[in-house]
Amino acid sequence: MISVLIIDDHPIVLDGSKLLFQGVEDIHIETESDPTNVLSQMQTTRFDVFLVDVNMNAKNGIVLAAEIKAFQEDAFVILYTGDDIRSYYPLILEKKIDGVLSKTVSRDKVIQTIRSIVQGDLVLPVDFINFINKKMQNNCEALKLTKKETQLMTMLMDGYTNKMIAEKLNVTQRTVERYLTQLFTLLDVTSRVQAIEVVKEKNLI
Amino acid sequence: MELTNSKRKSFWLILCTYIILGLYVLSISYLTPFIDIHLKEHKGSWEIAELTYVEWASQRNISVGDVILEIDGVPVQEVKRLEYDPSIRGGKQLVIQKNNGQVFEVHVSHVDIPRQLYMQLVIPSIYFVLTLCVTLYLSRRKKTIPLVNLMIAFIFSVSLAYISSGASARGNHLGFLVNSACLILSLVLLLHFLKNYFRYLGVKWVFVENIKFLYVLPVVGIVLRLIRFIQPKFTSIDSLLILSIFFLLLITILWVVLRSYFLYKLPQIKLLFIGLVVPFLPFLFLFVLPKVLIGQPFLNADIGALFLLLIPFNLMLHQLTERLFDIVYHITRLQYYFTISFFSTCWLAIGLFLLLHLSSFELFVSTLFIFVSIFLVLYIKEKLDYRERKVLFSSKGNHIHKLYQTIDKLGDVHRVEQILSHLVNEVANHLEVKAVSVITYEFETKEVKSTGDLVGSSIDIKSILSLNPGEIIKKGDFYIAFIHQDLNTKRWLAIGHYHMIRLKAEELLWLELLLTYTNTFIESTKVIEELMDELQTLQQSGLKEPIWLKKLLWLRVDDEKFKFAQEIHDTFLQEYLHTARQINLLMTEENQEVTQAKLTILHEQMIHSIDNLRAYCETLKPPLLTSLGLNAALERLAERTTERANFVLNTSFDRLYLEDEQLTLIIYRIVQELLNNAVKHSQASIVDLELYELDNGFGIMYQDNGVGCNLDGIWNSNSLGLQGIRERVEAFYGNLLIETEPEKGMYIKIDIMDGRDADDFSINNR
Repeated sequence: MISVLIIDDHPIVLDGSKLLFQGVEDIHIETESDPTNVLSQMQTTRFDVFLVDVNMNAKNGIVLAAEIKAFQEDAFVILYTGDDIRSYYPLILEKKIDGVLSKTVSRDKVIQTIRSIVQGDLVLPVDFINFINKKMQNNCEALKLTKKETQLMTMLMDGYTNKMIAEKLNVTQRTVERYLTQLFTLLDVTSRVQAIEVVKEKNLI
Repeated sequence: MELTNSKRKSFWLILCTYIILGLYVLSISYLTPFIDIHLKEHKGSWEIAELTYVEWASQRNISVGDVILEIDGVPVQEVKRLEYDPSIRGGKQLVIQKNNGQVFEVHVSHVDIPRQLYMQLVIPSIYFVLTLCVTLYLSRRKKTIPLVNLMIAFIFSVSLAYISSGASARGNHLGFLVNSACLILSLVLLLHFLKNYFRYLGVKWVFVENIKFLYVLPVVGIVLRLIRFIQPKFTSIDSLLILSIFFLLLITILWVVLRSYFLYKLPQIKLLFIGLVVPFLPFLFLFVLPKVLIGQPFLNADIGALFLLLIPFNLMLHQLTERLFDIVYHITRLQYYFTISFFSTCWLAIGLFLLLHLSSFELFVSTLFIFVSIFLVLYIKEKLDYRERKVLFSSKGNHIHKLYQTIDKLGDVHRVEQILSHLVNEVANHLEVKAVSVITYEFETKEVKSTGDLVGSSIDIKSILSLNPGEIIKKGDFYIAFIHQDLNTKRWLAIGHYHMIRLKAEELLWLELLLTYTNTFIESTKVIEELMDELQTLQQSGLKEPIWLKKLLWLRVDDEKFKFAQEIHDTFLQEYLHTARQINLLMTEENQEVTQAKLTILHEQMIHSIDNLRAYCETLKPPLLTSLGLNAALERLAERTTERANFVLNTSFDRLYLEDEQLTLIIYRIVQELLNNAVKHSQASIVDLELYELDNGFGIMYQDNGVGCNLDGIWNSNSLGLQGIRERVEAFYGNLLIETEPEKGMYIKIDIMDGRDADDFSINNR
């Protein structure tokens, strides 16, 4: 029995999605229209798979996915979106999500994908290979820090606080936080210590 | 009250004593003309040894060697005094025997000897009245002056000493006593006055602390004179003793003043020294010293004493003027003019002596004349300079410095009321006056208001309404100066002088300049105030943007809405209408297979329609911009463009760190427009697109090898989308460069600065 939580802030879509699974014996469906309630629901009920809409007003699906993964390590998160799913291929590569489904695909495909993912398979369209190829091409060109990134990293390595950086660059602290988040995402790290390690390791400066 | 009452009583007592004694001694002088004949004893009779009024004597046929028989009807042998004081001082009638035995009678009246009339009667009388007036004025009007009582006493004693000299010279006993006592008393009073005055100045007293005992000296003087009546032999000595006491006191005063001056170098003491001591010098060096040392004065006492009369008035002026004049200023100016006059006089005198061979007397007189003339000319020049060109002799540049400071201070305030209160403070401080206020007159209500204690109504407004900027006039108790005038009000500065204070030329000039500056200050401040008020009303009413802008925005937004509605109507709505009809047809279709086949087609149509709609949505709101960032969104945009375009697209997007988050959308829109443009119009085979980091911002470079266009035509056609790019670039004060020609492709370069600086209007001027 696979328990699935579908999260979508459009009630009509949510009903339609639930209908897809009518008569499927091995899948149990719950729905949630408010993404901010998900974490509290997870405390009482355990779900194996989360079908998450990306474009939600209250909370972005990608952010929610990260929260779910943080709360429950073995949860499978599948983005279920009306957008072009190719946009989200990088997230699969970064293991932030376990799969991505277009809302326009057939019922069979949705069920099949869920079943496969729970078994540890990756189910994706063929063009994912193109994405990987391109990515590999890009990776051959080694990552090179821009001027601003070099400046930020140098300050981090010199032990500057956010406040000091803000003063030095003459911007607000909030802007510095934004810069660092952007930089950490690029380096695929979550803290300044890791960032410094990565930069040293890859000899980026 | 009791104290002041007793003070008043003692004042009146002193005044009455002065008047009675003064009138008495003057009457003595009036009753007996002064003839001053010195006698010598010759064979038991008194011969004339020396005549003072020689001219008169020769007219009356009196000559040296004549024998005096009677004085005022008394035989000469009965005048005991002559033994010790062989002289006739005053007399109305003399009986004289000439050498040839002729005896005749001489009647003397005042008019006979004009010199003695003036010296003994007229001048003393004038001085008597003058003293009265001055002391009454001082006691009535100038009670606030420190030590005024001592000063009055001093003036009285000097006056009495002087006017009693006539009576004393005529041998009047009371005259003798009054003269001797007052002569000494005046100096004791002066010493007392100096002591208190120095304490007032904060100067240490260098003479003995207890000087009250000195008041014994006048009594000693009286006693010495009294001895003369008991013991006539003493007559020749008492004058000498009294003069010695006088001399000692005088030396003491000189020493005290000089020593204090050298210790403290106060200009007040210097002036005091000049004012007090110099008038004594003729008397001291021409009468007292010769009389004591060689027994023969160079100058008659009456002429020497004339100089002394200056002392009380010097003292009074000194006291009065301390508030009126800046002593340092006057002394330095005096020195300055004196030096100039002295050296030029010396030069001219040498010239006169060498060229004209003048006698020493002529040279002396002409030198004196030249000196005084030059001195006066310098003062006249100063007055003229001030009147014509506003140039002044300046001792320290103090006023200019003060003016600078004041203007500096005024520059810090931004409200008219503040400026006015600053002005009042500065004027009060600088001119050291208390009664300074601003008078405001409202034209409409004809209301007069004034700050401070002054009552505005006490000034006749009509008379000062015509005052011009920079004008200062004296009116009643006030100096009135024009400050400022606008449509509703007129303002003046009133400085109360109450006839106590006289502003000197330099101070008036200072005030005039200050007021001119203030006038300008107020003008500009008014403008600022008005602007501030306008801003405040704007803020209060919450109108942050002008209404026209709001209107324009709404019009633009509605325009856009209509555009989207039209697009949706033309595309998706038509597709859905078609789908709905198809489904409607299917509802009546009975053949299962046909239904199935048609549904499959319908589903495909729907999927296609959904794709289109999604693309449309993506154009309106870039989906990745907020979730995955600018670079992901741009990459995606490039991919999508490649899918539908016929050209090779080479892109390179730098990772940007932008302070202004709005810029990401702007960049996305610009790139979107550029690519749209390329797809729709360029007909290019290769398109290069770069987004790159700049020192403080970013740049976008677009290049294609397409058909290009006529640059002039770009802005006239709406379809190009370049219009939108330009507007966006302009909104962020960026630079846009387009190079294109028909069939020569297109090159576009955009620079936009990032950060708060970019909000500054100054960037617009770069």
